[in-house]
Amino acid sequence: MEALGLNMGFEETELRLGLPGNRVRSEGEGSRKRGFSETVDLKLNLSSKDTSEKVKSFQKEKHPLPRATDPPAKPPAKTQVVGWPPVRSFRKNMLGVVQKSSGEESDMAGGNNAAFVKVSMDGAPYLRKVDLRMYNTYKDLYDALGKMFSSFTIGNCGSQGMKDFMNESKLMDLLNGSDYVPTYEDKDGDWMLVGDVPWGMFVESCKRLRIVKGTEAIGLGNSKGHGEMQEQKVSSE
Amino acid sequence: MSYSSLPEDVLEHVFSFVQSDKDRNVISLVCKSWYEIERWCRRRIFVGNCYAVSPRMAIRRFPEVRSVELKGKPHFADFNLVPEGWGGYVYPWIRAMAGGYPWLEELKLKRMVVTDESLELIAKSLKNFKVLVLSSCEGFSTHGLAAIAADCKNLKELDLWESDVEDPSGNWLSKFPDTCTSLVSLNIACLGSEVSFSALERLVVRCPNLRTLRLNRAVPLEKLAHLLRQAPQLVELGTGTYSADLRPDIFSNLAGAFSGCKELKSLSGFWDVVPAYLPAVYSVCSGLTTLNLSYATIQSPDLIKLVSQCPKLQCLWVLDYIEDSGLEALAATCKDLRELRVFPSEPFGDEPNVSLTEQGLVLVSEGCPKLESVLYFCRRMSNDALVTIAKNRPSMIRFRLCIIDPQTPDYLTLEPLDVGFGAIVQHCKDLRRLSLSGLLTDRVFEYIGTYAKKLEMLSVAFAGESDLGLHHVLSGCDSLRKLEIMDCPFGDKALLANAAKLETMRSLWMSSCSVSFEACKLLGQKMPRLNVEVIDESGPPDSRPELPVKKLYIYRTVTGRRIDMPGFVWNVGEDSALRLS
Repeated sequence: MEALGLNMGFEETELRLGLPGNRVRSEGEGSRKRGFSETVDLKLNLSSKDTSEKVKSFQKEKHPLPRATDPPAKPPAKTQVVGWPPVRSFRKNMLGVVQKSSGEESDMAGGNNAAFVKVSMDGAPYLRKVDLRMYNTYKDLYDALGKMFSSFTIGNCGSQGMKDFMNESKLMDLLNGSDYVPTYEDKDGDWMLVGDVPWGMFVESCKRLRIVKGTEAIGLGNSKGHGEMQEQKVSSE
Repeated sequence: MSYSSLPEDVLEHVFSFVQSDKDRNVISLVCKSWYEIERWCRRRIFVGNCYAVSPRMAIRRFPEVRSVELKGKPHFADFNLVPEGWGGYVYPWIRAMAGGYPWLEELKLKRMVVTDESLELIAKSLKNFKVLVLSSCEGFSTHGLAAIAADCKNLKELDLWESDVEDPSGNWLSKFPDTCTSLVSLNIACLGSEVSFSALERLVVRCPNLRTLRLNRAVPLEKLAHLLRQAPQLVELGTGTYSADLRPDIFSNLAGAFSGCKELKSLSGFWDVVPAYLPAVYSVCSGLTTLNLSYATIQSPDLIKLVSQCPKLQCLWVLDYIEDSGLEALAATCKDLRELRVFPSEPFGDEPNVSLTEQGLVLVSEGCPKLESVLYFCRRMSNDALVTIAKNRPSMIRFRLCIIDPQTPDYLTLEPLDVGFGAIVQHCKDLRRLSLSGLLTDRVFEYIGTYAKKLEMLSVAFAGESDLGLHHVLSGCDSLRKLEIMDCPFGDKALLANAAKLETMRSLWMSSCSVSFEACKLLGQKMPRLNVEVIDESGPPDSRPELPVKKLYIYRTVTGRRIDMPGFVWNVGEDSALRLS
């Protein structure tokens, strides 16, 4: 095992990525210098092939970022990126009473630029938070919740479990199936089933989310109006 | 007479004049006896990363500490990049200090998870507890606060700065006993629900030393005057909601109350502000040094009227409603200004909703000779403006610019903003904190690595082109302590080539970059004094090794891997087996 020298000379502490099992031995000055100049040589290329490929592959969900050499153009689709712009959530929520120039009345909960709600799941040791305005449909929300809580719902990550959680429809099944039911607390403090009301109405009235085990969902109130989306029929009382 | 022959108590007395941690650390390195003397008389410790050291180790080395400051989550947790349940629990520290520091007086926490249980333990175990500051914390409710109120007999300061507090209904303020008269500072601005006004009033009345009072939004404006008359000695005030029906009697009552507060230096609050009531504070404006209008949704003319009356202003936080015209007025009036923060009123809007541009910042940099700290959200910038700002204010210490659209170029030339930020680091030789935005290539990092020798914290997003960018920063910034990066094409090479640098820093955060899991593993294996934590909510990161890790948090530590990691955090360390939840 290569010992890392105590003097923090660049050469001693340079690490290089070899294949697993290959130890990087110091073959003398030559090899070390090569590693460093490899880095310096990146100056001549605009970007290393490896890097740009990786950037493309994991950024396919977001709008394509213009490269420095491209003529600067506005990205085609405006998707919200988590963490940007760097504004704290309580500031976003506090500014919910945005004064539109028309001076219309807006109550405290309406007109929010963000809608952060806590999400808890029965059996999970900790809460999550989601910004409902990041999603446009119930399916988007379920996808996100499924990803968030999959590490709890899949017990031991044996190879079958691994295949399961990578299978997106399995995630949806978890939420749509009888095992877990998403519920929410609305503005009036009542617990309702998620999915009963149009999406926009849901975002405005949802204060927090709770994913309960299916059996506990029996007896929950149905939507107050006639919702178009009835994902689950549950008998009340 | 040589220094080493001075008696211990003389040395201890001399050391007591040395407050700074850095200096104390240097003292402890002089010789063994100085190390021993120093550690017994150190009274305050600051732990910038609660996982860097264990509470037991801290207590063992410094047995007589009276004040502890801890920080938990990485800074990007403020912007929802760190999933809930990541960590930062204070309970183990409280439990250790309940036994090890029974005379602890002060606890200051930032970005930590604090439970009611923790607060109850503080209240029960620390008999001389005086100061509790919970900054951007969460996990507790007003039940925990009730325990503090009821049992901390000598409480001087309770500050809940921007914390997320669960508010089950409960009259926690009235849990302060009638015998409590020691309060100096109370900040409850972040509380969402009502507090009992009569309990609040009684508390204010019986605490003659109360200097700071930050109310929450639920306290109505009609009641503010009454409170102020009970506490005319206040130095810092945060109003509650600043709107009421327009009535002359309310106004004159309020104005009269404010005019009685001769010591007032700091104002904040101003939720839902009705411009007609702003003149009520005019009588105190001439003495104001700090003004936080970051919740005040009023337009530029009203802001100008207010700010123009505050010639002693040193610190202004405001929304971008102030616009360039308001900043021009600020520059003309407030020659003592040190810090300016301009927050976005509509951060998610597509189009600018206010006339605030780079011009406003340029004007302030020209007009305010003491300006040293800037946080500025805007929608356009130019290299020229940045160069001008840099040349105007070489004494800048903190410069955080957020151009709202990622990768926005210089609006005049369509070039990257490399040269502009380059000028900032070149001219501002004492720059300690920098946040970048706009279109940026590797060149800006070359400038930073070359010139920003005092830089301690750097925040980067959507910038750079290759590993060279990261390499410049890691190899060039001698004073770097914290580096946080999101959405940049930085990968393995620069990270591995600068592995040793990471041990000289507090922490490195990288999310949505190009670091491979293999590189993380290598780093974790080779650097035993670093915790290399991969955060991935969709499953074990080695199940998809061809994809870059989503989020990476690396920090130095002397205690090895932490034991409270949730299922979505993997410590990629010495044993290459992953921990699964």
